[in-house]
Amino acid sequence: MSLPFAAIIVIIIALVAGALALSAFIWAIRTKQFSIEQLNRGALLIFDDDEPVGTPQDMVFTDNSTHGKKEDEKAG
Amino acid sequence: MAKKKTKKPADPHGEFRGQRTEADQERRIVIDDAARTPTVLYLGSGIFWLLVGSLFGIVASLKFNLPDWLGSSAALTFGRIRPAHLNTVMYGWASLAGAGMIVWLTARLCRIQLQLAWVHYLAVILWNLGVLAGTVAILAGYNQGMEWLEFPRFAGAMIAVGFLLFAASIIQTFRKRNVDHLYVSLWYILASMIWFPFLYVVANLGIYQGVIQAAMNWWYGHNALATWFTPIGLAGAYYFIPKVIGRPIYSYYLGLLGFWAFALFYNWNGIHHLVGGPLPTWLVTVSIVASVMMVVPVMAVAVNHHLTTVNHFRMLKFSPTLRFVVIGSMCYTAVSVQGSLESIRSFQEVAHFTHYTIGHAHLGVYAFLSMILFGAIYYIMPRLARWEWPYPGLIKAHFWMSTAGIGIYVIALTIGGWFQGVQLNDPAIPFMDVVEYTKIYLWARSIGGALMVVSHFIFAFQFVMIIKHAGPRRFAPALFRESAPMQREEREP
Amino acid sequence: MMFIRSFLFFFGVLATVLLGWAALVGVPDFMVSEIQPPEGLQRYTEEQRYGRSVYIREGCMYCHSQQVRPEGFGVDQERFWGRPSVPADYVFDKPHLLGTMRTGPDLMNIGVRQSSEDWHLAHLYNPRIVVPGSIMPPFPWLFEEKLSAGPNDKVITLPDSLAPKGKVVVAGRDANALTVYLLSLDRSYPVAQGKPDTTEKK
Repeated sequence: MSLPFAAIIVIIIALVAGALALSAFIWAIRTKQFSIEQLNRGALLIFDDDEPVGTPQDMVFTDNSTHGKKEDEKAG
Repeated sequence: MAKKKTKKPADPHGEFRGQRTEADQERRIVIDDAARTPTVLYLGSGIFWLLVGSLFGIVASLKFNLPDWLGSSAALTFGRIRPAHLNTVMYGWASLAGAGMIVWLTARLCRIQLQLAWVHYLAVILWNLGVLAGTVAILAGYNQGMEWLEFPRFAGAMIAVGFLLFAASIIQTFRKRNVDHLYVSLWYILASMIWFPFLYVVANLGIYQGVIQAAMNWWYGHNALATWFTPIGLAGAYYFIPKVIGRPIYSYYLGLLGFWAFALFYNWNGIHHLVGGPLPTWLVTVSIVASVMMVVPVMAVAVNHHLTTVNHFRMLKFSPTLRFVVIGSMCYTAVSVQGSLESIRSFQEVAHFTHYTIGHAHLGVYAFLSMILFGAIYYIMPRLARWEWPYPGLIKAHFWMSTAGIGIYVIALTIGGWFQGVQLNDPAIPFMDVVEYTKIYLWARSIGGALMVVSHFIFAFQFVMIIKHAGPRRFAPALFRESAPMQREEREP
Repeated sequence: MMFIRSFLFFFGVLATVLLGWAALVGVPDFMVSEIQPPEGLQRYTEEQRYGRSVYIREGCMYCHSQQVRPEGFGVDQERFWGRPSVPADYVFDKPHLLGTMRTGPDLMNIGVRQSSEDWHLAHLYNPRIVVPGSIMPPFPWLFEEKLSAGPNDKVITLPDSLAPKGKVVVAGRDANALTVYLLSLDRSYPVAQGKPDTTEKK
């Protein structure tokens, strides 16, 4: 069996890349990169105390916000 | 504009909230302010190119219906205006508006003011000049001859330098970040900062010839989507859907899986544009396999986005951002599954070389990417301009016209293109009969296109109004927590 | 930890794009670089090369492909568009003009299928003169209007509705060159067909 030179190069590159990817994956598992805490921290990153989970943003097509604002203005 | 804005606004309602809340809000305002001028410049020039590009598009489409219309003008012939359309909407509209969204989003997600903000002024100028020079060159007849790479090399170089400057600022902002986690959107953004410059520079070197140049052409053509345009859209969808709804993304783990599957498979897809062509069969097969494997990242993203949205469809009624972004993410699923199917040989035998492909391309770039960009702009601008969108009615008009327009466009070309392909594969039907058959669908496409063009002008009008703080003053959600008296001091003439 | 994560992220991202490039462009380039032009394929002449640049300038490739699909995949043979194309047919092509649309027919062998110079010139001036119902754009700027034709001018015979009053339309340099290029598109010479995937010269 004789493989073309190009095929041999491709196979070597694929093996090296695969080995690197596998070792990176093993590292990630060992250091608990996929733990639920890590994932939750990432997912909640876009929220903060001022715009917390549970408060929708950007409700433009509603009259409530306008009324709310006007009351705020009076209070201020 | 930027200098004036850096002072922190006082919050008269602060006593009703905890210290922490006030700090969060102020920090967000400071970060948004620092990104304001670059973001508005990118978005504004993007919208300018959207208008130019969609006018090119409608003229090109009408030329199918009325081939002798403007027939004596060399610059406006179909073969020049079509590449002008593609390049202005891709490198002008989608790239520049996407860059604007990325600038704003990166600063927010890294929780730090935009770093090296000044390079963006240079980048915007270079990028716009590059697109302008390239477009003029195409219309004047200096076309490089390869789809997606029509711009002459000097125009390409200007865009490349502009992109590198832009990327430098994004990377620097990332390095100075105040967070120990990177949000999903940021993975896509940072990856594209590496991918796209490599791709664009290699493709523009012009070192290939013959069929390999064709392989390179479509490696580039498809990867421009894979490494730049799709990451823009996904970064936007991953941020705006959970943010507007106020619920975290359904599964962060799927987000991870989806990202790496996307990175692995997407940039092997390109050669499916050459199925049946004179290339080594294994090469085409590799691309088909990778295209079908795209189902994995697409489904991961689809599950994530749709299951985040599913119990909150009511909110689509209230939020323009959510409407556009959810439509966009639905179309991402649709266009990707369609793309995987389309790469398969038996499907390509019919659909390749027909208008079906054009419908597919617009489903991707318009119904997915542009919709998400529209949604992003509707969210970002009130927060940067400190002024609400003056005419919610016009937002609705924009939404319905562009949705109806792209709907008509895609459905017409999908049906017409498919049967065009079926007829082309029947040697008993003369070629001209096939052309005759497609004409009615090409008219439908012009109608859909016209609706989109009108909606873009409505959108651009409202964009100008919000920048000028013109139109009726509204107090809507973006400004809900801000102190109205302070705004009045600053803004009323 | 954060550093390792960032490093792995950027390394992984770079690796994926490099692998894609190597697989889709690098390796095929290496494989195809050995190909010799077939005996029947000539280099473009100066005139043909100029005509090809007009073809690119006017964007012909957006509606016309230059690739014939293999037998059993579409009906290109039955439409008499020529034998299946092979990589060797393209060795002189830069930029390539394979195309992705067939709004109009394939042009890989248009010089064989339609060898009349007059037909091409009239068709370029206004396609509807010779092909009623065509949606191809007209290219009148490739032509000149003159009061009377010179000895070497090729006059386009026009129907009355299109003819300019008191003038004749003759082919300009660009129209002539483009026609010369189109007539040169003849890939009917024999090539080693074999399986379409054996592109390497052994």
